[in-house]
Amino acid sequence: MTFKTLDKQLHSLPTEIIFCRNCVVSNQRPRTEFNTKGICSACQWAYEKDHTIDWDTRAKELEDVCNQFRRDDGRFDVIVPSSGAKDSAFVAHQLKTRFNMNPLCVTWAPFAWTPIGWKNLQAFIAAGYQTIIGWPDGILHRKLSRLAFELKGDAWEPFAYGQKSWAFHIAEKFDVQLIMYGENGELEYGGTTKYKHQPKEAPEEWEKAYFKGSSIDELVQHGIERGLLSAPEVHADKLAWYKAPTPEKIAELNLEMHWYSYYQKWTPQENFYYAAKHTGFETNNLGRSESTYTKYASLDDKADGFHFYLAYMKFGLGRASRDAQQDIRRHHLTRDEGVALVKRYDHEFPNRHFQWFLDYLDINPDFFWEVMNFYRSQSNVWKYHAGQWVLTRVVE
Amino acid sequence: MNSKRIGIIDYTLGNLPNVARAVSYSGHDPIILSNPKNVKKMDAIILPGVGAFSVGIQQLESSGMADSLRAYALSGMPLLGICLGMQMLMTSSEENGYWDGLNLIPGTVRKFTDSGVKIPQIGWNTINPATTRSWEKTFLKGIEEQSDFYFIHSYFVKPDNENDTLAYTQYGTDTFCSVISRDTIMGCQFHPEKSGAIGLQIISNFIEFFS
Repeated sequence: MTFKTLDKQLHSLPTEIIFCRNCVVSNQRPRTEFNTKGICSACQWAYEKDHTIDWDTRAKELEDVCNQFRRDDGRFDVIVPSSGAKDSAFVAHQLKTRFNMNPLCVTWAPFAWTPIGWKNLQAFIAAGYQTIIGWPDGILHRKLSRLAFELKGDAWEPFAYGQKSWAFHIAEKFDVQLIMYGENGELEYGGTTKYKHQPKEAPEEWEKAYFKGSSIDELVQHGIERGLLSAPEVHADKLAWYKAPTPEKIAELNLEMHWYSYYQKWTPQENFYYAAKHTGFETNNLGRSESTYTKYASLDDKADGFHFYLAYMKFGLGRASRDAQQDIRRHHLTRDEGVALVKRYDHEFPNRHFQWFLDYLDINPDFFWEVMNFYRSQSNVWKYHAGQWVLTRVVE
Repeated sequence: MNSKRIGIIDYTLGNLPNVARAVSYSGHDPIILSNPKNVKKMDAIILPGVGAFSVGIQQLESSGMADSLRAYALSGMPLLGICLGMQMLMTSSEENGYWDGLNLIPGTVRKFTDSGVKIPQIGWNTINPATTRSWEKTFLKGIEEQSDFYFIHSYFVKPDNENDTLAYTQYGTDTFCSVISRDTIMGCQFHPEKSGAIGLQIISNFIEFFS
């Protein structure tokens, strides 16, 4: 079977691979840039976080924003997109207890909750956070994931669309003008640094930054052409939750989307300790997550492991690499420790939910590996040699 | 219990929150210090450290922190160096050239010599009591012999005076000083803040030791 990909970033990556001298990321991570000293943009930002950013001023700015949006009539005044896990728990708890805001939390449902993810969300709600869960049409969601798996090399993408957009729909319904996300992922983990000194971004940025240069409409179009999706299945209302309101509509509603990480130094591991203390967050009861050494990050969804594994196929950067990059930047690990952990865990296949994943996408293992091998063949880091796939560049 | 003020030196290299949490766990107040003037107000000081000797010592010297730490330790106040923090207590280091240290304990810092093992050493390893001293009247009191702690380093300290070694550890063919103490100055090459309950015990012992 021949494949094609809609991932427009894949072929724009540099073919000569370099690794960051400070962390374990390489230039294969899309949109990550390196300075002349060979330091990646996320590490440069990490240095600025420790040395040049005036956090006291930014804390005052947050105070001002809260003062501007706070309501004293009992209505909600801020939307916090939340999985109930460490990062959103930290943001919601801070806004509520420190700034006296009245948050409405919104959860975009994972493909399938893991028991620990569900437990953590319940503990978070039980700690006093009103929450609305958005569940997309289960059949449509599966079909979109199946398409995204093959065409984007990432079944996770329909989740990402809704994760970004769902909050806007609820903000509109409840007439709330402020949405507070956790971190600016592009800045914190590698990507565009355009918003380094701004607390908010405009939705027209999303398509390029998060959706691999294409939108849900492109995916739907392919589904219809293949006969996988029918016109009634993709009525405007069915797809609405995957798309933010138009920029004009957002302007009309005066909606603002801010990042908490602009206002306060973002340290995921500290968020974990915070959530454990304040909202009953628990680590993975099964021990470390597959493909990595951590047990507190990205636990909610049975599909998560495959999102990270696909990145390993495309860029040679897996889940342990992603965790180590962050932990080095926040000084929890040295680079040497990071390199050792990447070598030990990055290649580990997320076997625990593999059968569930195949069933969810309605594919068999052969097709799964055909898609994996297609993306490997498109990458700059894998080569097929003597009957097996070999990762040619590993961080040293 | 009387809660003590424990200064944790911030010179931009180091895993401060974990050290601070270990101090809190023992019931004391961790205070992150970057201003040398505040050093003398502390009941005890922890000098953490991750990274290169040259960068660390230059940061300490240029900020005036090095002088404050010397004055503090020489006045008989307790100081604990962790990992690079321990190495910087010594007279000098051979890491990337030659660098003067804080010179609070005579000795040098050297690289592992065994090419048959992975360098850096990353992982758990055993501490053994020095033959010349008992742990009974030190901050290792109550720690079982041959306990395991978490190490991450390529260099280790070599004190001039054998009596300053409190524990030693074997890695490959190198036997090195993994815990050092001289008067009120102490150091451990491993990371107690990353070594579980027994690591917390060491931090707690250090703080309680002088009360």
